[in-house]
Amino acid sequence: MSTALENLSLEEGKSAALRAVLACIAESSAADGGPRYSSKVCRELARAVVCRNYARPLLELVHLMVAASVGGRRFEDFFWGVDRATAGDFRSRFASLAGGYDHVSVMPGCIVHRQGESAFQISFGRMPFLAAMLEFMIMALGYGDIDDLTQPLRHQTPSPGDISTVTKALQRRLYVYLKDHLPPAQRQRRERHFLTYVGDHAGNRTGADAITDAIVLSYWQKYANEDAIEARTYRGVFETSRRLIVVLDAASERFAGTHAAPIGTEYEAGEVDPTDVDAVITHLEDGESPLERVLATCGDVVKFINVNEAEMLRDLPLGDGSGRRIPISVLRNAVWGAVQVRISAALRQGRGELESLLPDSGQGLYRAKLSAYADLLDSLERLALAALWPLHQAGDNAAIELALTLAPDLDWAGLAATGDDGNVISLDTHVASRRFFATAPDVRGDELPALLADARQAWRGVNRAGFKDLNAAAAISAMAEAAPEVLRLIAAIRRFIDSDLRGIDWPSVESKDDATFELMLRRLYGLMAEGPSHAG
Amino acid sequence: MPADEFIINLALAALDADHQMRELLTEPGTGRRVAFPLLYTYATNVAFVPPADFSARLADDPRAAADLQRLIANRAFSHVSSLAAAASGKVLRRETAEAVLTLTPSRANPAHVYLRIELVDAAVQAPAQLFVHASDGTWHKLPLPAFTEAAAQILLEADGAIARALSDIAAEAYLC
Repeated sequence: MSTALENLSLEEGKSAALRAVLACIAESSAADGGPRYSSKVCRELARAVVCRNYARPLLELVHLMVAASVGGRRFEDFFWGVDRATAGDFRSRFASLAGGYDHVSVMPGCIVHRQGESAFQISFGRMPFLAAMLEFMIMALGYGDIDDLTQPLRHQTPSPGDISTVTKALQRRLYVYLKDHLPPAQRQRRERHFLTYVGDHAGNRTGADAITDAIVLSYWQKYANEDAIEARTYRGVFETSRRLIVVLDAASERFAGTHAAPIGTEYEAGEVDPTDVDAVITHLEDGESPLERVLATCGDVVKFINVNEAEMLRDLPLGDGSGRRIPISVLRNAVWGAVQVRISAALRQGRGELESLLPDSGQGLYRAKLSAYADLLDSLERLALAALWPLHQAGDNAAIELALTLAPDLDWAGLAATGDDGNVISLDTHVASRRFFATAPDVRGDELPALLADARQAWRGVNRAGFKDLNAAAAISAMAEAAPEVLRLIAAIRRFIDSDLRGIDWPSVESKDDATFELMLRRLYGLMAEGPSHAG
Repeated sequence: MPADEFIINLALAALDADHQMRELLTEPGTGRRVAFPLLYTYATNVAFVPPADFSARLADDPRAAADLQRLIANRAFSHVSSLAAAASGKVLRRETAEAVLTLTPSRANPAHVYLRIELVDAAVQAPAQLFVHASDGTWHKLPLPAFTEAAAQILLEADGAIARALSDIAAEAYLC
């Protein structure tokens, strides 16, 4: 036992310096106090480090350092000369550095480093991550070492040999650093235990298909009361199954895509490609879900989604395939998972009224939840319609995408027609756009005027932040940025409700689940009578 | 190896790595590092005033201290190295290939000294700041006024940290 503890302590000691470096980068702030790197970039960096997937990023970084050093410039002036590491700031930085160097050219979305016949592109969107990678290398290995190792990149025109030498040297140094500071990832017992259970009960099904609603529920019923297994809450078991579905789907897709023959199964032994692991983890990123993207783009400025709605939508698997595979579990988690969370919280707070936290059976709990989701969807569609009005008034192109999505039958070709020679109608998108924005709302009008009249009416009926002032530039700008994300969110919710949840006999499921969950919760928390007490 | 086994192992490896990644990001570890952007700003922005605990934090972070020295050295117009041990007492004149620095007590006020910096080559771009690296490892930064006829003169407190460090034979300085 003491040896295990000593090993644990040793592992923690090894990673303390690495944690400190990552924390320092994550907390690094710009002049205005905001973060220098987005949380997405910080997670991407940590992912590359943990997966040891740094070979390609370091090659990209080396090419970027060449571009940053043209004309004898210091690379640090490029990377830290920008206050906030964003694609836009790096784009501006390169625009200001523009000037006749044969081997580096600045394009609209990227820079290109040419070496003879070959060319290496780096997009501006990639640069914040590469800047964070360089900062990590400097803080981990020392600025002096990085400065020395990258010296060949500051030759007038570095050769392919220089690029290769420097990249390999950086890779070697980082390999040694991580060997000393990154302990092997601990094997997560909870997921493995669940997966073994799935394997024993899945019959002929394999992969993510083997995880079903019935298995999720039966696993919780079997292990919720066992201290050795972390399966006490239904929500925990549901999240485990959901994450497994996501990674199994991603791994399967990765394998199918590459047709690569894996050489083994041991990650630590280098038998699993770090690039594959990195790619699979990306699917677990919360920030990529349609809901989080809406919140990230407009947040508090334009309240397409308020706090309660966001909480409700977070129960839905909108960005992955788990809704399709375990749709009933999603509703079980949203209803009974939430009940169990409330009971646990009441117990922690020493409150005694646990009995009252059990919902009355026979009330159609799942159907009520589905109805709430449908209402929320209606509200969101109404807000999207309302957003069309200020965006149209502001002449913002986001209005066109909104209009075409909200009214797919809109005669865009009619708006774009500029002439008819009898055989071919000439179309011009600029003309269409001009006509679109010149159209006035009319309740009794055709498609577009009527749509705009609806939008204006919807706008007037909304009382939320960002929907009050037609002239609030910041709100209109945030609304324009968020509009495509809102449309994606609407589509994802609709797909889940109309497709994943379709064809389920909810009254029958409710009737069984009311009894099952009430019994389980009574047993787990020692509530008086066993069995459904409020059966309707 | 069956494809299923590979898929399951890849999925589990990803979950393990994801767990480790979240742990690394949420548990900051021991020892607070000095951020490299802070060192860069200190070294390059003449007007930048570092946080009050900057020196103390550098003292606790030898790697960052080394990074700062290298950053400043890389950008230096002239490096005034520490003097040989044979030299003794206070030093009032430092000379490099690019500049001469002299400390002259003020006749009007003994509490003041004049720091005069003369550039050897009047055609070069004049430095904008002076960094003094005291023998105890502390850094002092002094923004320089515009040079006139390749010379600049700054009034310092005789007992101030910069004047004391500059007159210490073990201190080194960088004109940037």
